[in-house]
Amino acid sequence: MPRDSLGDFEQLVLLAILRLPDEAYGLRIQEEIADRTRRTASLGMVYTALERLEHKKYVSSWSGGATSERGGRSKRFFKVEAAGMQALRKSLAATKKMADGVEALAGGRQ
Amino acid sequence: MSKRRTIRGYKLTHVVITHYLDDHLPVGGMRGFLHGDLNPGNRQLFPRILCEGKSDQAIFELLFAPHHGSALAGDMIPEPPKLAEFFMLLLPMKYGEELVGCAEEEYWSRSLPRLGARKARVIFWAQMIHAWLIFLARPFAGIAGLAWVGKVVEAILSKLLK
Repeated sequence: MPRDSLGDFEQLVLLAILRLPDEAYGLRIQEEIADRTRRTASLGMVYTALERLEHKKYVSSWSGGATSERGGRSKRFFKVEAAGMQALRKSLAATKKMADGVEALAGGRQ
Repeated sequence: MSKRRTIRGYKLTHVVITHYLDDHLPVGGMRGFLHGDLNPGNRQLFPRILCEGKSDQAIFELLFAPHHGSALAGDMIPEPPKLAEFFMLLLPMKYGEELVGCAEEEYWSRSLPRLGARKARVIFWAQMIHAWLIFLARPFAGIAGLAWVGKVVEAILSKLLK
């Protein structure tokens, strides 16, 4: 798989970040994915994906203030960068192209 | 007032607010008594607040506010498992500290109020084990035979969170 391609879970993480402007941090991203897809992702999965996306320069991050409910630990907020948006568009377009014209999907059958 | 000093024999030293709604809890009134960052607009907030002697009335108002809050006496506060937290901090990840912070926030704001202390602690342990499995499986990511380990932990986590 080429290094710049997006995995299934990475795609979900990027979309979750886009849905949570200014409040996209680990736990919120995990909750957003769980709420919308009914898929339970562990925090380890989310942070591993975030680190990978940051390494690819698809997202950038900054540290927020420490809070008491986190045991005095700070939050790390994430933002999708232009390269990430491009990769996401490409990935979603590829999925759409593959899905277009598949009758079973159009009829709602599995 | 002296009768109210204890709950089931525990001396009140801390109060833990699991959640509250502005219309049911005397948040404004409590502000004068409690030390902590109470933000009435933020319903996700789960502050641990150290109280002084004068706060008894506020604590009891909170305790008896039906369905919208609970308070625990100091000795009864079920902290997240320290050993799991320690192992999580050992993870050689760039954002290991933030991961532990999120696990703690999940514990206090989600697992503990919804599922109780025992399950909340199990979830905390499961988060730690899964994070380590993911880290250890990285070099073997291509070996399909190992994927089942993560899937099993994921299935346990998802069952617990339901």
